[in-house]
Formats: sequence, structure tokens, C-alpha cells
Amino acid sequence: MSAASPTHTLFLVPSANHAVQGERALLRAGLGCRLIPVPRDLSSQCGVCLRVRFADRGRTEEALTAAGTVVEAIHDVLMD
Amino acid sequence: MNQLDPQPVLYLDNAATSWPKPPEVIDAMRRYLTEVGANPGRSGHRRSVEAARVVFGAREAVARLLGVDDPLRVVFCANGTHALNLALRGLLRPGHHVVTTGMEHNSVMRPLRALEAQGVEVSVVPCTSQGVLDPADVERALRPHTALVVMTHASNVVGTIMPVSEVASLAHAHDVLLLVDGAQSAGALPVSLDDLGADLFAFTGHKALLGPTGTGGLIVGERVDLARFEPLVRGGTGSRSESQVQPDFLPDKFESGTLNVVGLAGLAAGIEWILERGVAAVRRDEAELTSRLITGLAETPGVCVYGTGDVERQLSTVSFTLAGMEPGEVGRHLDDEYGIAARVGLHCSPLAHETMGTYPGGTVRFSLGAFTTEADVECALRAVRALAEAAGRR
Repeated sequence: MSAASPTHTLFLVPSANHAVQGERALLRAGLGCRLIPVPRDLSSQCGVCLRVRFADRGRTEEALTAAGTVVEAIHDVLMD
Repeated sequence: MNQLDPQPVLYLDNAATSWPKPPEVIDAMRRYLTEVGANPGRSGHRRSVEAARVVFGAREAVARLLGVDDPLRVVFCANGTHALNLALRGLLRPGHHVVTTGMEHNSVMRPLRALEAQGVEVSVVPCTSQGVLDPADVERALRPHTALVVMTHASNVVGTIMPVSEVASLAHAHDVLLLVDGAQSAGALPVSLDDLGADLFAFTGHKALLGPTGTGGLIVGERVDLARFEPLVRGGTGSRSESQVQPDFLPDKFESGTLNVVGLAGLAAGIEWILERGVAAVRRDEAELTSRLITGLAETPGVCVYGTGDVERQLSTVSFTLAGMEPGEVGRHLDDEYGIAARVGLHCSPLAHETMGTYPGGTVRFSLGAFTTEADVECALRAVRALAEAAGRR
């Protein structure tokens, strides 16, 4: 039995400031994203992270790097 | 209870705080309070995220206005004084030497005098009686252990614009940081921090930026070593919640506690209002009115106008005295009989008044703003002429 493919990628950032900065960068790059609470199994911090479609993972990473947004961790996940 | 009477007010106290505010400022604050309301960065729900967007929007607005590349270098504080205290108390240690000027506000001098009592050496570089600083005097005051130069961008008493970029070049040549008090200049002068050369720039939101009181901040430049820069306050930031140790990154290191989000919503709207019109255009209009005001005052018998008298070298802040009538009495007559709001006395700047030779009596200060009209200036001049005649008859 094979594991289900990831549906989304989560980009964990240091703070809500960085999350909004990243959101702005992705909007400018024409990429959709949502800011969602960081899942507890990924981090104990109480902030938000950027959720993008798994298909946009690469372009998202490029756009965030270009914008200078600090990314602390990247997780591919299966989400509704 | 509001004890204001319905008499129209001619508000010429914009250097204390600007009034009126653009309607967009009030709308933005109302929108935050009625439609958002949440705490930014503390929760993951949509309203909290929207509040974070409001705050970030204010950072972006400040960064755009002041030519700062990274909005995260904008640290929000309660006001300009808070920002100056953060920089001074966060960077200076016993054994350090700091250089400042003879035109500073107490928001600089009081923290410096407190630090002096703790072992920080303070040098005050004199200015002329017009408030003019010779940058070479600053360089001569530098020592091997000088850690910082702190200076106002423009005097809150006479509006004199200081040679900040020249001082920055000299300070940097000696590997010394420059902290600029931009309380009066932010929004009133076209400012690019790169051109200015400031390593730290303190601003207040409620003066020429047209935001509400309770807003301000500090721009932290790339030359500042964050590891050696201590926060004034530590606590919750919404980030690194798993740790009992303060975050070490901008802006969270210096922004513990819930920010004044409703104020920042208004601040962003105030800055957008200025940016739409252009800082240079607002400055040009104010300079024309200031020129008329200075000329009219100087032509009035018994009036002594302080400062350079050159609108190219000063903001729209004009200080004067009237022979035969104390500044406090002038202010009372202006308020009671003409509905003119001016500020009299020492303007929280006793050092600047000593420099100008107006200590301890102080001056009367008219400070124009983005909404001041030619008719307002003419009205103020008529009032001063009438008071001068009354003083002359005594």
C-alpha cells in the first residue's frame, strides 16, 4: 500500500510579521496561499504558517527566497 | 466632559501633534475596531491574521515613506520618545561616549543625562543661536570610545534642519553609529534613510505623519549589531512561544506586548494620504505659508523671530517673542480672544532655548501643518499685530 501524496506544503516562518511578508511576496508572484495556524505536530509555537498547494512548492520557495522571507522549515502535508 | 466651546479653532500647534487628521485615518481606525479587532500574531484565526496584515501594512507604509528596503526593520513603539529611549538605553553602556547637539529635545537629553549618571560620557556640541550646527564640531567631539552620535533632524523649537548626512559621513568614517530624532521631520521632509545615512531613525506617528497619538517607531539599519542592542521591554511577541528567552530577530526582539493596532491602522492611512499628495508637494505648500508667516511676524513692531528665517533651511515651525508680553500671556490671549492654538514656553527643549538665548522665558511657537491655509496665516498675523499694539501701549 503506497502513502497518499501530499496535497499542500507548509512554510514555517519566525513570526506573523514574516508570514504576512511572505503572503505579500506570493501574491506579487501570482501564487495563492493561506495563512493558517501552525499544526501542533510540526511546532509548538502559537503562530501562523503559509500553506500553498503542493504543486506550487517550488515556485513558492523561489518567490520567498527572492523576497528575503526567512523560512525556518518546509513540510509537505496531506490536508483537506 | 468636553469643555471646548463651539468657537472655531485656528490650530497652529502641529509640531506638538497634527490636527485635523485626514478622514481616511479615522475610517481606517474605525474599520479595524469594527471589522477586525483581534490581536496580531497571537492566534491563527482569520481576524488575527487580518490584524497582522494591518500591522504589516503600517510597516510597509513607513518603509516606503522613508526609503527603507525591508519593512521588518521598522520597529513600532508608543511614540518617538519611546523609540529614542529604546535606542539610547539599548545601545549605550557605562564607559561609552556619546555625542549630541545643543538643539536637542528632552526626549534625547533626559535619557542621556540618566545614562550619564550610570557612567556614559556625554558631549554636547554647541550650535549657533539660530540653531545651526557645524558638522566639523561633531567630528572634533568624537573620541576613541564614542559609540553613538544622536541628533535631531529638525528642531522642534525653530524648525532648523540639521546637517544630518554630513554628520553621518563623519561619524561613519570613525566607525560611529548615528541615531536621528525624526520626530519633526518624518512626513514633513522628503527623507531617504540611505541618503540621510542614519543608522537608527526614531519617528513619531502623530505629527507630520498624520496618524493618531500612541504611534511611533525606530528604524534599525543594517550597521546596527542586534546582538549588542538590548530591548527595553521583554515579553510575549506571538513568536517563539515555546521559549522563555526573548526572540533575537527584528522586529520581535523589540516589540513585546500587544501593539497599538488601531493606532497603526490610522498611521498607515495617514502616511498613504501624504504619499498620495507627495511629501515634497506638502513641504512646498507649507514652505510658502511659512515664508509669509516669518515675513509678517518680522515686520510686526516688537516681534523677534528666532531661527534662520530661511524656509529652505527650516520646517514650518516658527518661534517668536513679543516685547512687553510674556509668551504665556501671548498664548492665553491667542487662545481666549482669537481661538488660535499655539504652544508657548520651552517646548520640552530647555537646551535648545539656552542655545537660542530664550531660556528660561521661552517663546511662542506657531507650527503649520498639511491643512493650514493662507487665510489661517493671515489671521494669525492679524492677531499678533493686535497683541503687539496692545503690548506697545503698556
